[in-house]
Amino acid sequence: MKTWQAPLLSVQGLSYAYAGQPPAVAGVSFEVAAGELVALVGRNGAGKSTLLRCLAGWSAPAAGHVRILGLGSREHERELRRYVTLVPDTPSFYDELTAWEHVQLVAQAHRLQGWQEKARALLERLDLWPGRGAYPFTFSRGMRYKLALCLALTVQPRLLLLDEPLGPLDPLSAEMLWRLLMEQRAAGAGIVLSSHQLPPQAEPDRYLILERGALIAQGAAAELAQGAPGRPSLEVLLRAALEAHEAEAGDG
Amino acid sequence: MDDLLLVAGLRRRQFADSARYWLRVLGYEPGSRTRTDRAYGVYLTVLSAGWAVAMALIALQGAAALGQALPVPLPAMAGAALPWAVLAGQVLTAAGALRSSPLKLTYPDMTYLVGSPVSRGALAVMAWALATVRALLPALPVVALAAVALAQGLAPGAPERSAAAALALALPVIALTIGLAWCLGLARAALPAAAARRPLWLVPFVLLPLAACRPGLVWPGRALALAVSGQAQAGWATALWPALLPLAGLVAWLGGRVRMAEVTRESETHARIQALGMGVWLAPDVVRSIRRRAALAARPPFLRLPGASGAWALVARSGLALARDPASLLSLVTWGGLIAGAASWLVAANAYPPQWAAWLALAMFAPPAALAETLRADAGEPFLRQLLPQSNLQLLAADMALPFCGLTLAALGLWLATAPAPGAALTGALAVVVLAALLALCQGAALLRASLAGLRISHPAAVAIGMGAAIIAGMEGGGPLAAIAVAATAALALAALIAGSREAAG
Repeated sequence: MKTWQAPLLSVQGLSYAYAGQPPAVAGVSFEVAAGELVALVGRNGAGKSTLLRCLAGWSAPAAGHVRILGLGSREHERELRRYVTLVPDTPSFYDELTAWEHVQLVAQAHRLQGWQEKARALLERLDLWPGRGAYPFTFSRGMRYKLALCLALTVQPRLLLLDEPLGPLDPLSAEMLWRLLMEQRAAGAGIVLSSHQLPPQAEPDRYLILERGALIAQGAAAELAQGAPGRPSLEVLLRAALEAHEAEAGDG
Repeated sequence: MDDLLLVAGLRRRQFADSARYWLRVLGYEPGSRTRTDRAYGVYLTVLSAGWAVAMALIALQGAAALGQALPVPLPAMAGAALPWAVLAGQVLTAAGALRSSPLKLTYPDMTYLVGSPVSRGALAVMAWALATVRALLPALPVVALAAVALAQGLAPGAPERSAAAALALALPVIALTIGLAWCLGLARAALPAAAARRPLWLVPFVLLPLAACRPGLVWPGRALALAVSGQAQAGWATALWPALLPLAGLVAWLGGRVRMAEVTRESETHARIQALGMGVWLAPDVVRSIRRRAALAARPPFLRLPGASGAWALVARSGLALARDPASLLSLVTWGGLIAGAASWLVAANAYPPQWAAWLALAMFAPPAALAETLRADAGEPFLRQLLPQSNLQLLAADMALPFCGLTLAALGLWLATAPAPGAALTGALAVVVLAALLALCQGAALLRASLAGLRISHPAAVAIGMGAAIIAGMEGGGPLAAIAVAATAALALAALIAGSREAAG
């Protein structure tokens, strides 16, 4: 049994609403430990991307607190930027820089040493090395996502947030992505990813099920599947959590 | 002929759709039969006509006043330069047509017309006619106003006659120039061997040195100069009109032979922009981005990102971005140089409030976009911003340092070349640096979402307040140095607000 240390990420009563809309995230509380991989699961519009944006500090929450390594995300905005990286589902790049120059810029801006070998290995593993001299706007969506992931991994964040990482990737790239995430987890990074699909070998430590902005269930697959035989799929987990939530709401 | 009418009908419907959109923006519902809508339509028509006539009269009066204020040798100098300016315009038009097919298709054209039996010649003739109209619409008023201004020193009634003669001549000259350029461009698109030769577009530039040896080559511009100076009658131009008919035939013949695969390939950027619909007018940033990407993708990346570290890496990136996008650098140097140079001239010359108001409006609503191009990408994209550990102020300084130097050097060069006196030269130079810095900080504050008392700072508001205060300080008896001091204070205040702004870019 794994023993988690003090939480890497602590979220308390987090709420966020877009102007004139009902809350996209409503009173969400959870924790993520170092070396833990958490999957955010929910239907379309459940608030997964908004929650990730709030965790990364891209959107200021209307209420609640986000603490990373014990530091408040509002008060220590700049300091935390070194520790947290969010890769959105459609990342943007500089028009005038090639893929390799993007990695170079990020590494040099952070004054990293010996980054070239690591970056090369990363690009080779993600099959981007042949396209390193091209502008990212000429890449396919999947290649752009992989480049964004390379940039994120170049700065070695303590907390890695991924929004729909597997959607644009081919099966082999998805498998490689998962391997990279396992390595990050083994190195002590916390990972939170939102996804509607996971590769067959993927086994997150915990699932957070979101429905209409609220966290309706969390736990390991076995706990959430309530005795379903075999390794439950995301569909089974989501359905079980929604049914349990509806039953609870009906009882209430 | 049937095909030509068919394509004309299609274009008319497309134009009508655009017109309907703008009429709806103005609150008028086309096709409505209610009495109030009809009344509103009449009101809009009368108002538009009145506005157009009033603007035309104001422009003509302005041109006449400008012509009277011109130094005596200037009209003669303009007359000497005009033939060469016209030739340069003709060379550039031909080069543009040879560089990329002049016949451009939209995505619907590619889908429905390219594979249809509609004559390609008809498509080409209609596209040429529309291109000519689009060129004539802005060119003719400019020609008329220039003629009015340059003929002010002549006999009474001469400006009107000059304007009429210049218009009568400019119309067929422009149509013929575009027609000949189209013939060259269509011929290139028709011949596989010619299309493969990329430097072909440089050939028209040979005309420039050739014209120095053979002055007869600049006859269109010389005829225009004679018309402007009142030495030519409008009747001259009638001799040119018959040439348009065989030219249209040639455009149709060559258009019928172009390889549509080549035209489609070279229309990609145009089609993408046209697919934005009204976004072409409403989202100029998107249009600029599409053009920039097309230009970048057309050639392999040159130069490399230098190996600087920390904020210097961002400075190097900004320099590389400018080097790889020379159009951006050129626009920065010309536009930025002019705007900052004009400001320093106004400071040193103690200009009147209306002159300052015009400059202020320009700085508020048309700032040099290239000054903040890299900062716009950093500040606007949270994914990129989070990967840079620098503070907002460091980011602004690093991203804008090189564009700022380009702008300031251009403005200083312009100012020092035209400075009236040594004392004024120094004041103006100081004003250039301070005002360019303030302009950069105003753009930076808006992009980095700096706020004051909970209110986000917008670029026009920052310019209006910061530069407006400087102008008022200078005009209320403080003089140029007081204006510069106020501008410097405003710049420092903006820098402080940027330093305290939220760094997450979401």
